[in-house]
Amino acid sequence: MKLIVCIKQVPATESKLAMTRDGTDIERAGLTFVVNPYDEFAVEEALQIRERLGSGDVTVLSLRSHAVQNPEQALRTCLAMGADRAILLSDPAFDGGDNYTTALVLAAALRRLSFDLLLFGKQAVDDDDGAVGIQVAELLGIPHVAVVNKLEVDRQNKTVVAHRQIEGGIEVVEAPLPALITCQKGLNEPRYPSLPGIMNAKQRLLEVWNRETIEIASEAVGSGGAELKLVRLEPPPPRPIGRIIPDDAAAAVQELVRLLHEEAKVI
Amino acid sequence: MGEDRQILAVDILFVGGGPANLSAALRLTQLIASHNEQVSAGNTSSPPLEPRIALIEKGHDVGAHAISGAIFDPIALEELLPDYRDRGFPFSLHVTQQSLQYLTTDGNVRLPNVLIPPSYRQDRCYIGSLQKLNLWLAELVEAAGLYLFHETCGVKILYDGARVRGVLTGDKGLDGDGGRKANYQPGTNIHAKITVFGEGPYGTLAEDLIHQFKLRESRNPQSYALGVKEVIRVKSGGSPGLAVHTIGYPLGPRVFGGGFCYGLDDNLFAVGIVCALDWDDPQMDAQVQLQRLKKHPFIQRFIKGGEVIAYGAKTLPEGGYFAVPRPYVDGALLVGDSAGLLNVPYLKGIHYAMKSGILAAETMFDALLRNDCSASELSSYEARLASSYVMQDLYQVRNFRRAFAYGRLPGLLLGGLTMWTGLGPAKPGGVREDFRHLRPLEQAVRGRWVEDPAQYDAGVLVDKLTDVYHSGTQHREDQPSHIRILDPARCVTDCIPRFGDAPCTHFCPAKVYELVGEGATSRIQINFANCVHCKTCVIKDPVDVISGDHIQNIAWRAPAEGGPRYQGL
Ligand SMILES: Cc1cc2nc3c(=O)[nH]c(=O)nc-3n(C[C@H](O)[C@H](O)[C@H](O)COP(=O)(O)OP(=O)(O)OC[C@H]3O[C@@H](n4cnc5c(N)ncnc54)[C@H](O)[C@@H]3O)c2cc1C
Ligand code: SF4
Repeated sequence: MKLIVCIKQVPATESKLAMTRDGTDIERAGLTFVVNPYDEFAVEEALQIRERLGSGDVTVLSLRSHAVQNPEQALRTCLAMGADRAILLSDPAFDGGDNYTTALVLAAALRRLSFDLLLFGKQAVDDDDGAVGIQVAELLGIPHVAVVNKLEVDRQNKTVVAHRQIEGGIEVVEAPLPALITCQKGLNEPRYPSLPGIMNAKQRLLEVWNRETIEIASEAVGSGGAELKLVRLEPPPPRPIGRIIPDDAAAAVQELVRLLHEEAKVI
Repeated sequence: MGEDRQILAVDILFVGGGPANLSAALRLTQLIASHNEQVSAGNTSSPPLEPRIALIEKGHDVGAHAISGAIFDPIALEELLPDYRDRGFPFSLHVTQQSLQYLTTDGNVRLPNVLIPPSYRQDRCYIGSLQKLNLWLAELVEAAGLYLFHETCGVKILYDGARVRGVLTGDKGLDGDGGRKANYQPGTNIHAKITVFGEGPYGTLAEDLIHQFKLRESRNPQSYALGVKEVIRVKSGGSPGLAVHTIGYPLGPRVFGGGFCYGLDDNLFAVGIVCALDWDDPQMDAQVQLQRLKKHPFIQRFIKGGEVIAYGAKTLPEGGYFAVPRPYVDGALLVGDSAGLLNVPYLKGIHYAMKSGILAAETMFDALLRNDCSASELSSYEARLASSYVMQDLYQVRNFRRAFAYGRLPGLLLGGLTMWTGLGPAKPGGVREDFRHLRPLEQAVRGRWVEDPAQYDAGVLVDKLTDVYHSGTQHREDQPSHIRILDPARCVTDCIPRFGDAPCTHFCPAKVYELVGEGATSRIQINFANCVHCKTCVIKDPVDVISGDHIQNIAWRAPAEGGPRYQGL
């Protein structure tokens, strides 16, 4: 079974972000970057499927863009977890794109690879678009199931059965392979890379594919192909100062209720 | 542990990714490279060296747990990389305005520069963040072929008889009760010919080693200080190059220490306070003292209207010359803060850490060439330290902190005098461990202050939990706690009655310890997820004062996962 996982490197979730002066981007210097947590679920799931079936291989794919700091490092983390092959898509022509051009580049690369199952995180926690995976499925003309928190592969019948959490219940969806899945928290507990795994990953060569490798026109991708333009980013409003209600517990609760009702008007 | 753990065999293992070990690693790879060049040129008959070298760091990367001032003296770096300026060195800002201020409650007196001995003037120094320095050094070290393992914590020293054989790394993927989760990953036994402990102050394993081999015998116990620091962004009016040190307010007369305010680029200021941990007041709280320092008009003039963007806390070894342990045993060396190599009046440790790393590397290189990693071979490290500026500088200022035992003003004069002249006792002695100094509340010489929550303004004056948030610290809520109170009953039956309060709830700069419940049902709750790994609690935990015996009630061990995510500290 051939499994391919597309991953992105993002600022660690507890990072504190500052806007650039022109307000259209965040300052990246000094931030710590990690593999997008939802993508880690995807990598783990691919590894577990390979282990359950006793055969198969796992390829990880990542696209270099201005938003990521060190995609090589992210790919090596996946190799250290146990992936078999890593491919980095890197070309100045890919710069300045949006989620659509990202999907175009990934789809062009994926057409050059054979696969039974594609796994993505449900969204990258930096821009929270959640749009790349499903667009790739559309471009490749394969079925997709999004936001999956349980997955079974039926190799005989060439299908996957995916569970999705929906309002008040669980939706169970079956799709023929090849298919694309986007992964949600709860699917698994991503493994930690082992020390020998990390050592091994350090010595592996990463394949780097550029625009020519995937035969895509430079006008179609990057800023030229982008359909969305980021106008402005705004930081969340500053947190107003907290208030401590003195008094003994019973009186403080009464005062709290009064404030919530009369001042905050939330109850 | 009955299970078979994986074994990873290397030649040299560095525990901790601070400036000490990163410099040692870099120097070692340089020495090996030039040796191997000599070999291939046929200039030496000894065989080429191809050792496997690994470094483990518990932080997310080598910068994540890095906090310092930092005013950086490049002397050791010049030796390590003479062309460092062309190699991407991350600092460009020099100290341009240096002053030492004595703060009164609302005023300040500038102490004349003549009080500062020439060797302590900082003109040659850079101002920058230790995180950047570490990340840069790590890049060079990795490019030289070293294996760097992040988020990997040494939890136990492995021995082969009396020889250090390496360390065990922490088990990951455990739940709160120590049970295995689906992604359980057992720790690895890393075996090495030489293990170098550069864990910073009060290293979990370094202290085990010092204890095991009695490495401080006939020397002083180590004394420490706690440093807390914030990075503050102002809207405009930065002062790049400013380096102000303060003494006096807000610290009480019996707290040895002082504040600092450094001007960085991009309208940033680094403001911090360093307080010697031999304070007597059970309610002394360094984070609150930092807020008081920031409220002082002299500091306000720089940071008014600003916003705190980062916070961190860490201890510093301040025992000086006489508290430096024997820094070698069979198969292991101690470097940097783990060996106590810090110059107290100068508030500098980075370049001493780096120099000790360089000397450790030279020692290890010789040991590898001779294929002898015994204590007698490694003992040359101590001699190298002794004849370097590391121990010479520490000797010169050996009596500085002791002078302050006479109080602040006499201490300043006396301390300054001992610094200028290098005079004073030449023998260890007269030092009690920091935890022995706490006194009952009513006897303590208090700094006449109370915590006043109303002063916080969510901008530049912040409460402790907000500061904890700015440290980015994170531990999985369902991981095993790395902090334990061995006998929780004693908190309520011994400690609180004796001191009139629970000191841990004040001295911890991250609000890890919280007194919950009332009267007989009260207990100390441990919010371990807040911990910033500063080590104050193990140092200051006073319960042994009561027992008379050194049995610590707080057990802090470096956790296998988590910790602060410092940014720019
Ligand atoms: C507030 C403050 C201000 C300071 N100001 C200055 C200044 O202006 N100039 C100056 O020169 N010095 C200053 N210092 C001192 C200086 O920062 C230290 O001397 C220096 O960082 C020591 O370097 P080190 O490599 O020995 O240890 P550290 O820098 O402490 O590094 C130790 C590393 O080891 C890791 N580690 C610890 N235990 C383990 C384990 N068991 N397993 C894996 N990893 C582990 C830690 O996470 C850490 O990254 C200051 C210190 C403080 C706290
Ligand atoms: S628990 Fe101990 S090590 Fe952690 S922040 Fe508090 S005092 Fe420091």
